[in-house]
Amino acid sequence: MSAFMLLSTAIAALTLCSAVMVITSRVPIHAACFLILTLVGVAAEYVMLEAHTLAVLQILVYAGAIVVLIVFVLMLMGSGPNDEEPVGLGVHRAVILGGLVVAMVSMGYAGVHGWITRPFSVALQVLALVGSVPALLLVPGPEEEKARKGSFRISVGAVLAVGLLVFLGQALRVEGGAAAASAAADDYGTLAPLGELLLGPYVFSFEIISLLLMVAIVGAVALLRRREEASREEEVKE
Amino acid sequence: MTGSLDIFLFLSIGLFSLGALGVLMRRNALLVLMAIELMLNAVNLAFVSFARSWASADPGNADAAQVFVLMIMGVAAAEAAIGIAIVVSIFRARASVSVDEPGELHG
Repeated sequence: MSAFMLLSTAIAALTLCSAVMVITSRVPIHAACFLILTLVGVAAEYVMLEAHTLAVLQILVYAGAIVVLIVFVLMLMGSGPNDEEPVGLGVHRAVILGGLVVAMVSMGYAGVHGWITRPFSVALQVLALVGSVPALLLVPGPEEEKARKGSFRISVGAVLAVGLLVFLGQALRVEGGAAAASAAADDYGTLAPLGELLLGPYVFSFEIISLLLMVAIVGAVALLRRREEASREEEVKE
Repeated sequence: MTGSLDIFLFLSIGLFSLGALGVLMRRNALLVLMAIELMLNAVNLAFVSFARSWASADPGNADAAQVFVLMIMGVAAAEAAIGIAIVVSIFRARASVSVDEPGELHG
């Protein structure tokens, strides 16, 4: 197991844990802070994948613009009484869904690597999928269960930890893997080839994106115009 | 740099699942938007890791995959702007950001 694997697995674990915190935090501002941590973790994974331009853009666009916008609106609304309510899905159902995802992924992984035959892995996946339906229906829903605060977070964390441990165990056993990375070109992930593509063959989609952003800005302004101003303008017209 | 790219795909799956779970579970509309950002990031990460695995065999298409990620980032920015505008206008109308409350169009 190389240093590359160790580092990228550690970053992945950190990113996944902060993603769990994003969707389980009861205080929205905390969720926004953990969202920043998640996005920076993804940017770090981009660096591990030698996509340096995208890593910089990830931090600029997501952590720098989108999260700031979200935090701004959170501050505007006040993060007091209207947040949270226990989770709508219920602890038991959420854990079953998380376990289903882990089971599906590990079966697929084992099938791809040939530890079990592919039809067998597909059969196991179908079995897990079919079996989870009655399990979801049978366990108590969110209304019946009195979920203790934080127990959901612990259970999602446990499912994730088991999944990561399984992955680490397999990574220690297997050298290589499905898509072993080999050396890339010198200018891979730098700005130059991206810029040439953006203003060359993909110039049309580039312009479409700029048009989309323009429409989004105008749409946001139109949505948020005060009603009084609109009615006043109508009076003027009449 | 040697090693498998599987961990990135695992992270991508995990982030997407958590994002989907967040959209289903949370009632605060802003947290739903954050969960959508998580899902978009998961897709981007999958794009970048597959691009990396093709970087030596097919450099042109690997760069094109990164251009695609840029496009997704642009769409995500537009989505966040419009989504937050909608949330703010709902908040103005009813002083709440719960996604369960607005139901006038329900038949």
